[in-house]
Amino acid sequence: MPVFIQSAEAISPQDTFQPAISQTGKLAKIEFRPLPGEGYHNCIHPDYKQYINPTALRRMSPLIRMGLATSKICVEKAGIEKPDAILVGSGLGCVRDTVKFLNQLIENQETLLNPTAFIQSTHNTVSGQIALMLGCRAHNLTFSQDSISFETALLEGMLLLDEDKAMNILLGGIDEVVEESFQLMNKNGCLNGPMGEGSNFFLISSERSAKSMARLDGLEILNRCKSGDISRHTNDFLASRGLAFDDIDLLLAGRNGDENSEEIYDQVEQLFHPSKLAEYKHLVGEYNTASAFAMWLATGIIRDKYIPDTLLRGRSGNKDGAPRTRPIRRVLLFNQYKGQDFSWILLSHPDT
Amino acid sequence: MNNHIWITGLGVASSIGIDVKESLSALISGKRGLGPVRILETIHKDRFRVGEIPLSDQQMMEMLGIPVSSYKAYTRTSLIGIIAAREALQNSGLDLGDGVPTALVSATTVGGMDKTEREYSGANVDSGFVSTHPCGDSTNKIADYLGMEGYRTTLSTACSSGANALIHAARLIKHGYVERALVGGVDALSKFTLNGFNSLMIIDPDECRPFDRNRKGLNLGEGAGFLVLESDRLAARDQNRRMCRLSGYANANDAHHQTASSPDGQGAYDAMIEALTLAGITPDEITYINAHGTGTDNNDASEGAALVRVFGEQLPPLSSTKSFTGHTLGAAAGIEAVFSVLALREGILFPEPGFEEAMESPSIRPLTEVKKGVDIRHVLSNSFGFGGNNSTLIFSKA
Repeated sequence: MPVFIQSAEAISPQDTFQPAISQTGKLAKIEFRPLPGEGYHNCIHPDYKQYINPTALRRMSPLIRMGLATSKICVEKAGIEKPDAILVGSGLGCVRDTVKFLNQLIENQETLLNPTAFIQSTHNTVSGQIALMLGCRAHNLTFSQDSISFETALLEGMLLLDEDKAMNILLGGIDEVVEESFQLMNKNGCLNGPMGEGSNFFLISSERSAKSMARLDGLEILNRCKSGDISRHTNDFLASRGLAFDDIDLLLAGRNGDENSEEIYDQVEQLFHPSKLAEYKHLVGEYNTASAFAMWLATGIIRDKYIPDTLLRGRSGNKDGAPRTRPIRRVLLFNQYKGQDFSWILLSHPDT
Repeated sequence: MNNHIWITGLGVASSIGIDVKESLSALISGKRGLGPVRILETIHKDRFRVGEIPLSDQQMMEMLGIPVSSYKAYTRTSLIGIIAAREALQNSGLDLGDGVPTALVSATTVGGMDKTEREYSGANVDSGFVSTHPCGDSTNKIADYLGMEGYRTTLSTACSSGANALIHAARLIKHGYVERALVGGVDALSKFTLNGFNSLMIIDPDECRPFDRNRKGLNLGEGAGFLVLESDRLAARDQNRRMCRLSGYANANDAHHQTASSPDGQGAYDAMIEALTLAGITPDEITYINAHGTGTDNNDASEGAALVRVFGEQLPPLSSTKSFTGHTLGAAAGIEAVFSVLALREGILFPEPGFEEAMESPSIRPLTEVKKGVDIRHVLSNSFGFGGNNSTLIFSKA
């Protein structure tokens, strides 16, 4: 069963959420600015009152707001009232409310606690709130498996479409960073580059329409993989779909500055022409569901036939004779985290 | 597509037993696992009844042959998970080395919170809980302990998490993505959840009484329940290993309120009807219902309303085994799936010892005495959670 991406919305540390401007050509209008190479970076937030009931809004953490705004616009742009399923991936869930309730526990020594933070700390708060907002009683799941959380939600979505259980699925990856979580991860040696966050949502459908921006042609998940086998898996992933390395117009890799991971990315990148190599984490930082941002980018690149300069590896795209605007038929996303949680996602132009 | 999903192995750990045999004997004899807090460090030690596994983390590590020197890497959640997952694998008798990939689909609500809350004192801490906190950690620990290298993921949908793990795993097998899966859920008691539910004022200080007129709330528990699911092709290799089928499953959303269930139990109704449809049976074919039955005012009234909408005023025999184990959150549906399969296999209807007086509306009378020698064809198990999540599983005799 083919899978089409009907809409895609991202709230990120870049100015990516602009529902007012037309979808086509949007990517060129966004001014991407690489993040400083350390610290943590929160999202550029829209005025949420435009999207969320102001009474409910007051109690919501930024993560819930981000999730609701992106999914609301996704559903609207796809012309869908209620999706047939809501699937969310989140590595750490509602960190802000979790820390808030933990701090309360410590400060008040287990007495006089306000339940709001506890209620909103549950990992499926965002998927539940989306269901409430849309009045959607359909299948509703939240996956939380480190840096593969979004991909396993995506797998569930592809299987649901395949068995005709659903025609339109709202699907997203969300994670947030707060001062406490950044400090803890930094202190415990979990970080290599800037830490980020984001809410990246998609409406995927089994039916192509005029709105179809891209087609999802493949997903491979390997939670564990011997480092020497990565290039073979990349080859097998493409070969099993009748594709050669030359058929891929852009490789969007999850490089994040981790020196120990360089060799893994090298293995994959050496399979492709240097003009096709791109990366994205310098724009949004590292987080468990950053690959969902890569999917948002790839969808826009295919739709607009345009590659923002900052993505191209070494920013040398133009010098290598690779013009920023070129027909892009297929984009391959590759991500991993510290030698674990590998994923390959293949997106194609719907006409391909 | 694979039409049948077979269950070939069970493993369980909770306050009523740390294996299937001990748990079954407690369920039959009516021995509840609820008592004052003994192991969790909390100021509420004698205030609440909880379903706590009477083993320290160190004792569990010894049981599992994990060197106590590596205690920093293990949360209580992961240890409890390993105990039940290991039993399910052994019980199934499958050979992980036979070249057939096996998925691991687990579920948890607060993951490694038990360790996080012991060691966290603000942002300025240097501690291993940073890597054991995420939901995926206990799943990784189970996989590593058992030597499973295949696909793994974790569902986290509050108190329905374990049921949704079974649903995702069943879908993986149905599509041939994998041919078998080790699947279930796990949660350890934590100050975080104990105080969280206490702040919501839905904890009964005494033993819980699901569906009772005088119910005052839930008792928290801890534990894990795991099952082995296999495709038709694999299960046909040795039919003696087939315990029963996972014949129906569905997940729906109530879309009513972040924490409360709707008065008419719409989401629960949707989930039960869809699961029955998938199983290809009518409500009157259900022999036993293992209810979600937390003992809170809201859940039992809402679930009761949904049950009456599906089954009519004459409900099949029903009980909530949370009256034995307490509410084990992300583990609950896994544990109750194991109990449902046991009921079906052994022909035993489990009682609900604490029940005295039916609620006014709807009037639901859970079984109060154990019943043996019953021909149980189909068991329906409900699990509901925050975020409006409602899931139903149906287990059927071959």
